[in-house]
Amino acid sequence: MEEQVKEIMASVFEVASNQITEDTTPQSLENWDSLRHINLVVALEDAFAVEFDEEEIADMISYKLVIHFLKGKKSN
Amino acid sequence: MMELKYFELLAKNKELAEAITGEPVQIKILSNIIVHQLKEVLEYSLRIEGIPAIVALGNYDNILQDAVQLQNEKVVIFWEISNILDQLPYKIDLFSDNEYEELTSKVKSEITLLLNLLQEVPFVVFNLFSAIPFTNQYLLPSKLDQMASSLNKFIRQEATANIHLVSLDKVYAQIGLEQAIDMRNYYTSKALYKPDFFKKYALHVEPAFRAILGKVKKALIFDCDNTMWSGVLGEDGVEKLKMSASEPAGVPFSAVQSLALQLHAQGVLLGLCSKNNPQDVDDILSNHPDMQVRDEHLVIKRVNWQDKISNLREIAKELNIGLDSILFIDDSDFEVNLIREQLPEVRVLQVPKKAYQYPQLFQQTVAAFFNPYLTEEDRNKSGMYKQQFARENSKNEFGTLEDYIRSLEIKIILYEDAPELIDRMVQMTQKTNQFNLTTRRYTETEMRTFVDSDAYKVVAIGVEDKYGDNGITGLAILRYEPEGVLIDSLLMSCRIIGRSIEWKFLDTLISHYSSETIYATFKASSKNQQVTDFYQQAGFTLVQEIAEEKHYKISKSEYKEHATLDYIAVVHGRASERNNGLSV
Repeated sequence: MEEQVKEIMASVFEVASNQITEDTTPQSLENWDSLRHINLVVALEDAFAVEFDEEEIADMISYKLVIHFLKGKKSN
Repeated sequence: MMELKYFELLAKNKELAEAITGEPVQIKILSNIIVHQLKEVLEYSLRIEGIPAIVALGNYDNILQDAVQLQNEKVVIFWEISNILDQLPYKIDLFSDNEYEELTSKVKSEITLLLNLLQEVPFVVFNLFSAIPFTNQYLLPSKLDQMASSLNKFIRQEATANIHLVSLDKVYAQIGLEQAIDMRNYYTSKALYKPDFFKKYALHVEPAFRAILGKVKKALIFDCDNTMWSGVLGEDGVEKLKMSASEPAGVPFSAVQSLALQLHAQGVLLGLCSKNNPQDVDDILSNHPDMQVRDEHLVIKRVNWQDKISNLREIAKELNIGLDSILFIDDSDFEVNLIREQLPEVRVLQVPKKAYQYPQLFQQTVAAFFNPYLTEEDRNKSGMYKQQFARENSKNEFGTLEDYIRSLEIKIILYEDAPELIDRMVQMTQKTNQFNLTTRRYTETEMRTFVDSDAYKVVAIGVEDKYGDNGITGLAILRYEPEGVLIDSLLMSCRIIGRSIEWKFLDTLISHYSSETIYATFKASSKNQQVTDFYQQAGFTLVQEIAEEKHYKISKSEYKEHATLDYIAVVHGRASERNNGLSV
């Protein structure tokens, strides 16, 4: 799953996939702005057949948190 | 395209961008909601058809302002009725008749102005208003429905021949509202639509782009068996073939023949390319009572036992058209795959295994490859007169954007050092990116310090016009030093940009709150390019440039106010009197 998330983040944020690391955050990645954040959520929901709620979306602001919330969804 | 996941589409779109060549086709989307995902989806849907599309997005809720600045782009307009006023779907039924009429006529005058601004644009896709996402449960039309139909009626009357009207209702009907609408993202970000909606929408409008760019097919070539009729002539015999609307198995083929004749009437070349005995097929064309397509409709016949690759090549040669102008329909997996492999320029459509799906596929797909706008254009000839009429008319009304903005009766309300607004002001420093001169992010504690301190003046503005309240949408933080006043922060929400409010605000800061010398800073961020020259344009002198910061100064007596902005009123307000529950 982690690898696919990195790939998705790379295509949503329009960067090379090696630019997405464990430490990627909106601060470290210029293209991670609020509009592309919606794209990320939509792309993840589409890819993993899950649905996030508003708070989760607002809190999903690092690579690690993305993985955290996604795992939480998948285990439910 | 519908089966493609959104992230896959993003990746493929990027690949296509690198692969495709030719003069780029620039398209600009103007909208009053967030539709940014449409950019890649529309690009992809056009790029797979060989059109090097580049789609750009206008500013949020700036349809009119962006329309003034169009260069040479084709235009797509997303004007969402639910956001012409904040929370409109939930408030409109509380409106008095008067309020309803006033809002409707305001939007109508905006439509007139927009259509005026778009006159020179060769191709505009304009979505008709739809209230369906907000009113699907009512038996009687709601006020929102009424407003949508009244506006649509108006648009149909006023639209000139370059405006291509699109019904979103058809898109909703095809994928269902649940797949189309995302209320979660609408409430948080004004992003109403899901990717599936954009995909379907792109498929819906893409043929129109193809038509306008001359990328249309010219000839429609049919196989015969299980394509023109149900059954195989050589095996079943002529009496077993079905193509009559009175027999269940014949219905789809009867329908397709009618549709083919309709294309013929529009000038599409029809032909046959089939492995059969030519005299047997000729016999059917002349004598079969249920045949609708007859010899007279066919411009070419290649009925023989030769391979279809050679036949199609000959057809192209004889008709003097490119292979890429041919659309071929066949039912056989073998033939379809062979042609796709050997003659990739020819577009091949396979008859669905379930014949009842055939007419719909034909209508949605085949027809779109030809020029389905021929009749539309004919119908639009009367549009030319209307265009003239609209021009004459607008002279009396709003000729320019400036006239229009003047008519809005814009009012800036100043709130000085207002503790009630601290939350909102903090939020603005955190979230505002584009119109933000220094992009300094402040916490609540810091903001409270500024509000309480005599060394600072915090000025928030609310913006109202005769149609309503735009909420608290601008902020300046001034710091008083012995040598003068320093503009520490100056920012405005993008939804009010484009009405010269920014200049009036700066005028006000200088006339109301400044000492003799004013110092200002522009600090470049990745998102605030639009204000790079803001202070320069206002007449400030650049005194120093360090890394990404530019430092300016001007004296109060040197500063020239924007005298033409006399139509924007500036008043003082009390924050405690705000918040009647209706404003943002």
